[in-house]
Amino acid sequence: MMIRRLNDIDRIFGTMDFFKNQMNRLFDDFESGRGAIAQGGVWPPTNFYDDGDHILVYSELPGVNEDDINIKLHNNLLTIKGERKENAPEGYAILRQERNVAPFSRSFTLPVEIDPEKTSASLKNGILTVKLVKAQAAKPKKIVVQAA
Amino acid sequence: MSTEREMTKPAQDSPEVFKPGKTTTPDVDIFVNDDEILLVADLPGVDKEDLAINLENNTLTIEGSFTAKFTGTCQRQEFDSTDYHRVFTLPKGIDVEKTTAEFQQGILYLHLPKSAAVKPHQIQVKGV
Repeated sequence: MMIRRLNDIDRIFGTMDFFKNQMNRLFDDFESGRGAIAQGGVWPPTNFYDDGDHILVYSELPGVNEDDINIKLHNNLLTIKGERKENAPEGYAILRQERNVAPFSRSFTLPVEIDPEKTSASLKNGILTVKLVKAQAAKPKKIVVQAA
Repeated sequence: MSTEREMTKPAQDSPEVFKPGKTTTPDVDIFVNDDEILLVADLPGVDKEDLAINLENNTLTIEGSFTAKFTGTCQRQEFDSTDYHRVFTLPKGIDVEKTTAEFQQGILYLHLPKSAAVKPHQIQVKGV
């Protein structure tokens, strides 16, 4: 290949980077929870965040009713269970069916002690948010440095 | 112009702008009866305001964006902010004016009514 200017080399690497990113994205899509039941993976996709005093658990549960979600906390084991109900309307023929409808269950071992009394959960736009309050002993503590 | 030139062009000259972040194809169910086509799409995390449905020349475009508002430091990440995008070509005979959409709990229900011309008609057989 003829490379006329140094600039061209930069451009070639730029293009290669672009393809590399596209490939990485492909794998991300594959590894994320989307369409996971068909691939024998896990559902729902769930995120864990820690903001110091709480552990926040986010789950993607579109179209699941509050009443169909069962959240259980037993010692350090958090279980999110439920069922996405069939919503094929009466009298319609099915042309295409991609959305998976199945009972689901996921369990997570929590890294810290949780105060079970203060746990709360909410559902908005198909995203479940579970707020777990850390037990007093597990909360971060500020250590004050004293002058000698 | 040589191929190598073509290959390396986009880096500087292309007007194409790539939006950062992911694009997801939403899962869709399609049902049909005598009166309408019903399209059901999973769009978890999308606010009603961030959802756009466009119907133009038999092309239906569904676009939505999910902007994640997670607080704290991440310990495990299986889903994130994403843009949903999907395009369908509709058959002829959809009454565009009467199309309605509902959006609840991250699910879009799009009702596409068939126009009178394509609805099935029962033909009465008359005795002589």
